[in-house]
This record gives sequence, structure tokens and C-alpha cells, in this order.
Amino acid sequence: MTRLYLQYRPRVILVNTLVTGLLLAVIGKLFYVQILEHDVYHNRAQRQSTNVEVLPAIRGNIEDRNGELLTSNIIHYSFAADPQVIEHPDTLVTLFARTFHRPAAYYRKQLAADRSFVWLERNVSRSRCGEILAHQPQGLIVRREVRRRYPYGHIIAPLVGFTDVDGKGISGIELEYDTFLRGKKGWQVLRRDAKGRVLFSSGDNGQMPIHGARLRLTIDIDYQSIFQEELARAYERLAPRTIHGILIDPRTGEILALAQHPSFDPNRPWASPAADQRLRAITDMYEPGSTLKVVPATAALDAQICSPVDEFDCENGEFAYHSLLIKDTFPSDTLTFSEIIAHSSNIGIVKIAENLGPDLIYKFCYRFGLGARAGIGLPGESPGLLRKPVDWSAVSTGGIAMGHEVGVTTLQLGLIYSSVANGGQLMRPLLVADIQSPEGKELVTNRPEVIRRVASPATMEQLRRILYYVVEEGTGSEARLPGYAIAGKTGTAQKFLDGSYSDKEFVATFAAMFPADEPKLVCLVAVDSPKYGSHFGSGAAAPIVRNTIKRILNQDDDFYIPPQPSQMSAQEKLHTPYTLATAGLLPADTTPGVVPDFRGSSLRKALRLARRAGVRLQMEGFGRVVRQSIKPGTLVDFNEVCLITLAPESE
Amino acid sequence: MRSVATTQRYDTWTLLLTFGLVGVGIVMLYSSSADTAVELTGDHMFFLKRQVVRVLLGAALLFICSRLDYHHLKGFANWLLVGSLFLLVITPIVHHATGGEGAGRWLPIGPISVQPSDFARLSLIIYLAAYLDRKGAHITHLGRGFLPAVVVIGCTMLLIILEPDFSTAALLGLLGLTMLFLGGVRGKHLASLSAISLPLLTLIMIIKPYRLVRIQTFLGLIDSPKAEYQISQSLISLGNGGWLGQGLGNSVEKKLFLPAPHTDFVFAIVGEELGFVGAILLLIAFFWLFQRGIVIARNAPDRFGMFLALGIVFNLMTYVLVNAAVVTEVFPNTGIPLPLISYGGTHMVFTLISLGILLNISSATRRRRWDRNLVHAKARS
Repeated sequence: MTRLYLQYRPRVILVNTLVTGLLLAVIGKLFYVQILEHDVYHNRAQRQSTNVEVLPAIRGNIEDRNGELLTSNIIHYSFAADPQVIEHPDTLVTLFARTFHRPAAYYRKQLAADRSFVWLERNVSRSRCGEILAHQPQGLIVRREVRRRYPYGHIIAPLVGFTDVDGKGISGIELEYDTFLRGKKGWQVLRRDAKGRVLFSSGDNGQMPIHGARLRLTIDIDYQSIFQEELARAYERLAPRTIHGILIDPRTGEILALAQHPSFDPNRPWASPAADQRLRAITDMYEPGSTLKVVPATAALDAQICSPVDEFDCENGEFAYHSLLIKDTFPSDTLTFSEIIAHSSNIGIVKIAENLGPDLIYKFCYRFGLGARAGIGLPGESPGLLRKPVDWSAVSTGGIAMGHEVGVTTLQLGLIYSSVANGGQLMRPLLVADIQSPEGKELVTNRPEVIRRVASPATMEQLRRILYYVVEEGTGSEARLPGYAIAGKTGTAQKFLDGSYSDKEFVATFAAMFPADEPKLVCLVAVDSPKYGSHFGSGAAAPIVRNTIKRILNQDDDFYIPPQPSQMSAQEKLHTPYTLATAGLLPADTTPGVVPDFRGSSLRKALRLARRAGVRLQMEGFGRVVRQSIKPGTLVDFNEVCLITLAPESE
Repeated sequence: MRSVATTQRYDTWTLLLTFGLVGVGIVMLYSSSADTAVELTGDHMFFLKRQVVRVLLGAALLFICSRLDYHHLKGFANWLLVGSLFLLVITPIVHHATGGEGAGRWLPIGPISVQPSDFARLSLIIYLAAYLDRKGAHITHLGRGFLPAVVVIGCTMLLIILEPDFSTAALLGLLGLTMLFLGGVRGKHLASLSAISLPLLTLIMIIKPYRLVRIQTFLGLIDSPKAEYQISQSLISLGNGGWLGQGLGNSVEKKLFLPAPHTDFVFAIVGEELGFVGAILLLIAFFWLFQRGIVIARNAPDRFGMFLALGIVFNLMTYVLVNAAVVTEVFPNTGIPLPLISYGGTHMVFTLISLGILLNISSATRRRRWDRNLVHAKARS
């Protein structure tokens, strides 16, 4: 230290102190901001510098039993922009106006908004996006959105249901199995700069999405399509309020088809009334009429109170049953037990029921599952209606035997006939075969389940023989299919409207099983209030069942009996017409009256084959034939319509 | 003895701190400027390259100045002041003549532009050091000691205010008055001057609406999103740092959130990337340099060297503290660079020149002590 410095020293120390004080103030503020308030500022920094991007889970698809997709997820694009970031608005406006055919002024107005996010276009399919996706201009925000599509549209809509715009199940399977189908959203944190441009995925945190599970139904979409089409055709003919039906594999309780008309378009659900969206086969309960006569018949046979050959006095068609006057459509003198079922004699079945007594009738109603939910596992399943015998009136025993005073759903009726078909076991209805996680892990596997034994196999075999007789000679003759044994039962119930039974409105039902000796298929159709033509189960419902079974026969290997020319008798060979084909002048696969194998051929070739074979074609799609509705080799009537599906070769 | 003396020619701490700070400065400049550089020019090293050139130039000048005897400056002091005042006068004229808009703080010389106020500040330090040296005890005299210096300081300030660059002028005034205070002017002179000039300065300050807005925003009197944005981003940046920071290069604020991350607000990025510890170490380094300056002044061989050293380090420390105070919202927002760290050519070059002069003063000190030791040695023998 110099002597010179000493004289200035106090002032230097003063200045030094002030400087140190200011330094300490700054350090104090730094401590406050950086340490004490660190969390606050850190959060603010995170918030402004990151975007949490939701990684959507792809909704699981619903398939039919053969893996055919009943749903699909289509990626749609939405375009937005941050007007503050867009560098060349004019380029963008021109590009959008050209692609989406909107006036450029619209986009210019959107981009003029004083916001950092404006929608330009929403929910555009990829094909409409054109070149925008290829070179996305700076500042354009592209959002991928997955939309649920239902390729089969109205065919299976009430069963599969639909989702809302957010991909949440609203009805049907989509609602009931939403937790499985929707999966779990993931998310990732993206770093961004002040202009909103994404810099990179921060990587350290985030969650990959768990995609939805794959749900396989027991439904066979081919059967479903046929059934739906036949119902729609019958709807044209009969003009009923509604018409619906069910196809069940009686051996397992698997539901193969659940069709109804009118249906709705699940891709545009808002366009249809809510009534058409409910699955009538499980939600709608009605008095079934004569189709329920199998219940007292089973009771009588199983309890061995009657045998099929017992005779009953059928009073020539009019019988005073307590306060009721019961009439038969076909008045008879005496009828055997079998004939009572075959001709659906009300007087006969009332007399049988009176022999059984109310307790036995109730017991079998209960055993067949009336008044209880079958447990199909869908929202809105109705339990039907079955009162206890103590609540019955004097005429209830006979009334229930005729199929009145009880409410059933089509599903319940189908299960009753399934148990007749499978030898007396009431099966739990199966709709979902299995559910698999995206990795292929089985989450749910449903196996056939017997609810209870209703009656002995021998009883049911007797009953099936009677029901075969119904179709061959009785009221069900409309369902006859030459060469095939079908068993069935008609039903025509007066609707109970405004306190009395209507003589104008009926529910016509027909239940069938096929083949009659060892049924593989139970088919049930209910027509609500047919307006034109027959209102009877025989005239209104039975033909639908016949047509459906016929088409399924032609389609499915399980039922298919191929024509075998080598085994033709000489007689038949003589009657085979001499044509270009039989003379070996045409390819063997174009025998007239035999459906050729269209698969793999072009449309032109398919049309040529069809013309030679005498088959009319109805086609959808383009490319090469991938499916045909009638199996190759099937013998068909002249000008039968065969539906072919074409698809581009690459797929 | 001789060998020890020659290795101790310059004050080692000053040398180490200077180059340490310059090194940290270049790293932090690159880290803070890269994103802005990409945004503006597409080249992430745009600012880095230019800053390195200036540092090299500044280092060369530092070396030269440390070798030139600072006593020569005493003779140039008047000319340096006149020259810098001339530059301050012609800067706005050139600025308007070339059709420039806004503040005319830059003087284009060939391909580069310089900020004459930085030159003026160093000139004023030299001038005042020489003035105080010349006046000696007469500085206490109002008419012959105090007022002439005040007039010089006032004129320089006025020219800088006219650029306009109010904060630089204010710091220049603070520097000048502090040097006069250290030089021994009477307290009542300073007090009277303050009483007269503070209302005047306040008036000048609030003439420009943007300054008023900044002050009012700082005091919480008004809500001005634009004025608040930079300082709030600065606090977010610091606060995001925490104890040890996000790590070098990991600032999120520099991704265009914080305006001027590589110039006036580079300290916020330091705080974010190196944390509280890093920010404190940086401040302590500057503070230590300041203390070394006082030590050099303490040991300076003459009054000129002493005031020169005090002026140089006080000026440096004022900039550091005001910058840090602005960044931490202790002071209202104003554009003051952080010496040796912030991007800015003239400031960097003149800071390095002044540190070169400081080193030269320190070497003179050492030489003297060595001479004295030699005298003692001779006396003993």
C-alpha cells in the first residue's frame, strides 16, 4: 500500500462497500428466483416450452367368426395453422383452395385471425388431401384423427353399434366392450421453441399407447348378410312394422346372425330414428303365440303324460275354455298329439296343458329360460315376462300354452328351439368368441356353456320329429326345401293393444332347425304386424326362413352336398341336356345351371362364365373376383343371382 | 530474485480472471446465440465467429496496452476526450445522413460499425484520472477543481443522451461522479450537484415514453405485456436453472423465448444452464477482478495510475452489477451488456483494452516493489 493511497482509502472503502452491497442484493434476488421460486419458474418454463402430444390408441376391431373385419379405422386428417408462424400465407391459401375447392378468400380470412390456432379443414380423408401431405408448408399443423368405419353398414349395425366422434362406444358391442376396444391413450412430451415449432421429442418421459383389443364375434357375416337381405326382401313384400330374426348354432349356443329391418347406417347414425338402432331380438318382448307350443309339448312328453300318438277331441274348432272361446284355424274332430302341434291346434294344446296343470307348465317355462335374461352380455337385454302360477287366472294355463300371457324375446325363443335342437340343453347365448390383445394374448375366451338341462334327449328327438312333420305336412309347409329335412314351428300371435287382443295386428313367427335329425342351425324370424299378404307365421315368416336356409346351404361347406355326376344314375345322365358344355366344347366349369368358380377371374371373364352358366351376376367393387355369394358347383335355378365381390389385385 | 520478479510482472489474478471470463464468455455466447443465429441467418455459429474475431482483436490490443507504459496516456488524455466527443457528435449526423432510423448509437467505419460511447467512456476514465492527478488537492475547489470536470462529464453525457442511449449516459455519469468522489471532491459539492441534476435527469428520462413505461412497469404501476415479457422470460430462465442448472446447452429459454439471449440477457442463460452456483461463481469472478483492481490501485506508483485502475474496474463492475440487477429485476429493464460475455464488438474490445491498461499499471507496481527490494538488498550489502 502506497502512502498516496492512504489518503483516498476511506472513500475507496465506501465505494467498495456500496458495490458489495449491490452485489449481495443481486445474489439475494438470484437465490430467491433460482432456489426458492425454482419450482414455479421451472413449471412455467416447462409449460411454455413443451407440448404434450396425445398418442391415440387405435380402437380394436370387431371381427366375425372367420376374421372378416366388421369395423375399420380410417385415418382422417385435419389441418390447422398458426397464422403468426405461416411464412408464405399466399402459397398456403393457393394450395388449399386448389385442393379443397374452396374460395381462397375463405382461407385468407381464417389466416387473418388474431389467434395462434385456426382450423383450415377438418376430417379429410387421405385421398382428398392431395399434395398437402407430401410437402407440408411451414406453420401448417396436421392432425391425424382415426375415424371408425363400418364396412358392412346397416347389415350388422344394431349389433355392432357405433361410436361417437371421439371414438367412444355408444351402442351395441361398441358400448358393452368399450373398455376392451378403446385401449389406452399414450402421450409424449415434445419440446418446442417460442414460435411453436416442435424441436424434438423429449424422450425421457411419455407413454406408448396401448391399442385396443381385437374382438371376435360368433357372428358369421356371410350368414348375417344373407339373413339381412332376406329380411329386407320380406319387408318389401309384407310391409310390417319391423322384422327381425336370429340364427343360432344350437350345439354351442353361438349366435351366427342377428338381423333386423329397418336397420340403420352406423356411419351416419344420426340419420336414423333411435328405434331402429336398438337390437330388437334382445330388447323387444312380445307374446309369441304358437311357436311357444313346444314348451307344453316338451312338458307333456318329458313328464310322459302324453305320447305323440294320444288323441284329443278338438271340438270341431270351437271350444269354451272357462270364459274364453277358443277357435282353431283348421277345425278338426280328433287330432293326435303330433297333429295338434303340426296343425297348431289351440284347442288341442289347451287340453294338453290342462292335463299337465299350471305347475308343470310353469316349471317348463322356467326351465326353458322364460322370464330370465339369457345373459348375452349386451345392454338392454329384456328378461321377458313370466308370472308365477299364484298370479295366474283360470285361463292362464291354457293361455300360456298357446303362447299368450308371457313375454319373450326373439333371443329367448331362439334358445328354446336350440335346446329342442341339441337334445334338451339350454345354452348360454354366445356372441363374443374371444378377445385378443394387440400382442395376441387371449384376454377373454368364451366356451359353450350349458345353463341347464330342460328335458331328456329322447323327448327332444320325439319333438323334433313332430316339428319335422310340421314342415312336411303341417302349417310350416312354406318352409319346405325339397331334398332337405327341416323342422319348424309357426306362430301367429294377436298383439295385445290397448287392453285387448287385436284382430288386425299380429306377430308372425317361424322357428326352424336344420337338418332336422341333427340340427346345426336354428333360424327364427319374427314379423311384427305384416300389412300385406299373409299375417300368419306360415305365410309371412316361414318363406323367409326357407330362403335363408337355402342360401346358407348353397354357401357353406358344412351343409353343402356337392352334385356328383359320376354317381348319377343312367336315367339322370339321359336327362342331362346336350349342350356345348356337356359336349366338351366349353370349359368344364361352365355347365349350365351350375355356378362356375368366378374367383380370380376378371369381371369380363366372370360375365362370360355367368352367361354360359345361366347365372345372373350382381357385382360390387372392381378388380378381380375375390368372393362369390353362391359356392362354385352349386346347382341353381336359371337366372339365379350370384353376388360377386371384386377387389384390386394387389390387396 | 530477478527471475521471480520477471514472472510476476503482471498481476496474475487479473490475467487469469480476464482470460477465464473471456473463455466462459465465448462458450456462453455460443450456447445462448446459436438458436437466434439459426433463426436470423441459418448459421448457428454466426455470432460466435464474429465474437471470436473481436476477442482476438481485443486480446491483441490488451497485449499491446499491457506493454505500453500507461503514463503515455496522460499526454493523450485531452486528445482522446476531444476525439471521442467528436465521434459522438458525428455519429447521429452520419446516422441520419445514411437514412438510418431509431437510435444512432453506431458509427459505421468501413465494413464494421463501432459504438463511440464505449470509446468515450474509456477516454473519460483516462481524462478524469489525468485531471485528478493534475489537480491533486485542488479538486476540492469548486470553480477550479470540481466544476470543470462536471462540465466535461455533463457534455459527454449529453451527447450520449442525444443518441439516444440514456442508460449508458447514466452509467457514464455515475462513473464520472464516483471518480470525482474518489478523487476527493467535497461532499457538499456532490450533494448540490445531485440536488440540481436529479430532477433534470428525471425529466430527460420521462421525455421518452418507453422509458417511463419501463419504470412504471418495474414499479408495478402499469401492466405492459411487452415491457414485462422480456423480464418475465428472464426470471423464468433463471428460475428454471435451480441450484446447478439445466446443463450447458440445455436452456429452453434461448429457444427464442427470451429476447436478446446472447446480448443483454446472456446472464439469464448462464443462470439457466449453469444454475445458481454458476451464476454466483461468475459474479464472484467479476467481483474478484474488481478487488484485484483496488489492490492494483492501492499499489499503483502514482495518482494517475491509481485513479486509472479504480476507474477501469469500477466501470467494469458497474456494468456487471447493473446488468445482473436488470436480469434479476432488481433494476428496471434497460439495455446494458455484461462485460466480456455479451455479444458486442466495441464493448468487448474496449473492455479488453482497459484491462490491458490495468495489467500495465499492475506491472508498474510490481516493478517498483522489485526496485525497492533491490534497494533494500543493495543497502544490506
